[in-house]
Amino acid sequence: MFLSKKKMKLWASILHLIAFVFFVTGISIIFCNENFNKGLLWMNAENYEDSPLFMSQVDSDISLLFSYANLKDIFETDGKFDINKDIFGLNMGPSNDVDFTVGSIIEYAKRHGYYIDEHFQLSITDQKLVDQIEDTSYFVNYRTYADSSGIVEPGDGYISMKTAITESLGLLAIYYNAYERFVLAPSNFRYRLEYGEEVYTNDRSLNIKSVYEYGKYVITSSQGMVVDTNLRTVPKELSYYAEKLTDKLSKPYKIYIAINTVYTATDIYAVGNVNYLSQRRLYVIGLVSVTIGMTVMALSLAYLVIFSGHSDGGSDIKLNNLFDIIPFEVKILLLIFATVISFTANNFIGQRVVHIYIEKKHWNFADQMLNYASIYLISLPIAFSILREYKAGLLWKNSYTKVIKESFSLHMFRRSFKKKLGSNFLILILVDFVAMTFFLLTTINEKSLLGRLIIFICFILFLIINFIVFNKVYKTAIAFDQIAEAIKEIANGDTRYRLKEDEFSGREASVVKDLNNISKGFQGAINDQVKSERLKADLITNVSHDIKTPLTSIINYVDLIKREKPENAKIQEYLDILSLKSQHLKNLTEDLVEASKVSSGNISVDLRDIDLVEMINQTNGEFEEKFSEKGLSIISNAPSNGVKIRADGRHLWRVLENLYNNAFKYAAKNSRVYIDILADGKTATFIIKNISENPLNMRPEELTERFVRGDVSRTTEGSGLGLSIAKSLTMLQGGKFDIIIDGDLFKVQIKFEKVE
Amino acid sequence: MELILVCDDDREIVDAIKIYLSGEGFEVLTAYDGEEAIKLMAKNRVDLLIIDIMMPVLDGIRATMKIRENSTVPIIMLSAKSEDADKILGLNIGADDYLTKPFNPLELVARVKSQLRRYKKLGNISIPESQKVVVGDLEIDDETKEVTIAGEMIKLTPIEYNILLLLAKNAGKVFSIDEIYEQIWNEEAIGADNTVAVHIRHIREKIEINPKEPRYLKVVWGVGYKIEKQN
Repeated sequence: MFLSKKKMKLWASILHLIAFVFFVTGISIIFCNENFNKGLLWMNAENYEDSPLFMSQVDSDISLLFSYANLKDIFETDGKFDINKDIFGLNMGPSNDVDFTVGSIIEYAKRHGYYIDEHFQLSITDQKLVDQIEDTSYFVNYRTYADSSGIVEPGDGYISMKTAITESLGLLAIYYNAYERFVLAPSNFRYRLEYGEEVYTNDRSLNIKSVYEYGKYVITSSQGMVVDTNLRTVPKELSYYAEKLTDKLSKPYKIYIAINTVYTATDIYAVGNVNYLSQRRLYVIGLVSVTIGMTVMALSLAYLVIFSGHSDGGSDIKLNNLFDIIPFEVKILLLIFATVISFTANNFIGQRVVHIYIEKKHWNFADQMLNYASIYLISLPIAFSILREYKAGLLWKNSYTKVIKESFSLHMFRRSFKKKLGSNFLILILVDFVAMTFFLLTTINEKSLLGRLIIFICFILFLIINFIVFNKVYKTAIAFDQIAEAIKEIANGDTRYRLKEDEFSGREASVVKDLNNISKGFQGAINDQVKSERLKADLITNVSHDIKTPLTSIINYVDLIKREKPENAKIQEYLDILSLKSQHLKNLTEDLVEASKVSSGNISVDLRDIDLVEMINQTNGEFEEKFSEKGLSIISNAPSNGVKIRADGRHLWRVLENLYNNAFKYAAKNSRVYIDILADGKTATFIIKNISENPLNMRPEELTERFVRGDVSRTTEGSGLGLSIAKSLTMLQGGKFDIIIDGDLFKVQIKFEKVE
Repeated sequence: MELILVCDDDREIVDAIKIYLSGEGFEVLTAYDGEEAIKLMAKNRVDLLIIDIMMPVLDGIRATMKIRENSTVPIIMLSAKSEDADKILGLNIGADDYLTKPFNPLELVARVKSQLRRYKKLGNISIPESQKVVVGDLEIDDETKEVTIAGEMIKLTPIEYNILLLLAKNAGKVFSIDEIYEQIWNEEAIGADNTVAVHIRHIREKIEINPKEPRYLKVVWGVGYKIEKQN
């Protein structure tokens, strides 16, 4: 049977908390252990005797033992502590040699605030008393505890009373310690030092045989190099100390040291043994507890992390409560706030409670542990809440960072260029100012390497910020250039020019978008216009085709009737009119098609080099007789060497034909038509001038509009399209077409670029 | 008696053309769409076909292509389509001549006659004598100073004759006004003059059926004049 997810999670949470308690307990046990800091090696051995702790105790005892053996001579007489024994003598003035006995120096020292504490250390009760001792140095007559061979400098032979006290009583403390440890109290540490006849021992029964009966032993002698021992490691200093003592006594020695591992005496070893076993057990419990705690915590945490927010129903994430949808920044603030509160609470209540139960030396650790535990327990639910929010995809959505970022970017987007540039510049100045001040102040003061490193990093950051700001301004400038370029292109008529919108950001992006829309709009409008012109041209062409067919019949049948030669003269006259008008209609339809094609640019242009003078001669030839019918004479004026232009001969002929026909139709009878060709610099100009038969009371521009004729009434031949076609065709070939009216003088001027 | 087939979907135009052609002594068959024309062509020995382009059932272009598969009969196209592209298309797919509506009935008759002469003469082309300059239907006999177009005598003034001879001898080459002047008048051309242009126009009026759309003597605007080389 499976538990529901909700219950599982509840259990996992409880398990997690229990494990946490385990973990904290374990850590505390380990931390509070006496042997913490010694790594894990100290507890390798099952028994105290095999542990490094035991060894170090033995080593220090051996060292103490030999010190004691040395000090015995200084402080004892016939094996007894002699308080009246001289210990040093000082020359305290001219013929004022003072000898200090052990007793007198102790008395002197006590009076001046010295004492030997429970750990056999020379200590001071009252520094004021100590300070009363004069710092005067006296010549040393003798010191029983130190030979004078070490004196090298003249000053070495002088000591102050303070130094004398520290030296002599320091040794006395050691002597007391050893005496207390080895002789006075029952000891598990047994020794027998034999130097010839002289024997130092605290166990008369100890000899070469009985030494093996104790748990641990060390035997050495002056005869051999070997140290016989069952200790885990051989006491390194033993032989050295033994030999040193030999030098002094100049006698062969035998040394037996044994430690009673039954610990019959209640000494440092017995206590050490009990402690070791209990501490070791505690340490193991602590380690196990930490391990179990950590493992269970990790597992339950993993379970909770995976399933947090999952409901029984499906895979969708369910937020537990209103707290979950709070922006995560608020949660983090809450976390900080709660932490501060809990620390305060710990300070005033928690720590005091803890201090009741725990030794003073562990208070510091306990206080820290309490704080860490509080942080953990507070941050756990908040972290899970953030996790659920993340899983639900709301972490970013709900966050204030997002709101701030969006409002900022919106702000950036809407800001005008002026404000943007201004604010960027202000930020730059501000940052630079702050940074420069900071660098100036810190570099002057800072001496440490770390400090300088931090300053260096800050300087790099400062450079980066500067670069970012510069980059931003520079990018804006580039964007401006691009936009300006685009506007120029569009203004020049390239409506297909587009900027890539995704290459811009902020306000520039919106400008670019608008600009692209404008150019799109233009292009659309132009396309529509071109399309409609084409459609119009097509329509006119089609309509004119449809007109031409019936017109053909009209022309043909009018002609047929004429051939029948009707008797009535009036009918003949009518037929002539019909014939003329149908011919006119024919011209009209042709001009109409041409005009629409030309004005919509739907016509091919084949540009070649053409001699304008030759062209005019040819045209004059074509029209001379026609003009003379109306009494018009051509007066032509052109350079003899020819003027080359680039044009389409057939189109240009159509232009000239229209202009000549125009002159023929509208020039006053028996007048002159002036044709001039001028070539100056780069342009070739063709001018045709004539005097209009009828007054020209209209603007020149109107004449080139379709269906406008100089004679307003539409009775004469001509479609009214001639000048319009001429103008359009001229422009198609790259020429300029101008009409100038001066009273009755009608003048057309066409300009082309000259070709060399 | 030559048999001419006139094909146009506009009955009045067909009737008018029939009247004109009959008046000139031709026998005329009529059709009103491309299919009908092809059928009549198969049944009768037609000497010349006048065909409209825009027609129902089968248009003039496709009908012409079909007919050209097994016939070399002269075909004159008649159409309201007056653009160069249309003319070029018509002539390329096999038409011998192209007339735009509305047309001058007399011009049509003249073109019909011209095409027939050429068609009938094709079988027995007389090898031109050395003095004869021949460009298409244009023949110039320098010995007799006679000029004929498709066998029809043309009357020219001496200068016109010389100009025509110069251009015909060098068919394809463009002569500027000055060059022509120097060759014909044997003196240096002094500046702009339209004498030559006027003569040219006169020649065109005499030898061309439609001087505005010359077949032989062509104006190269702004450059000069030439007689087109004909195969």
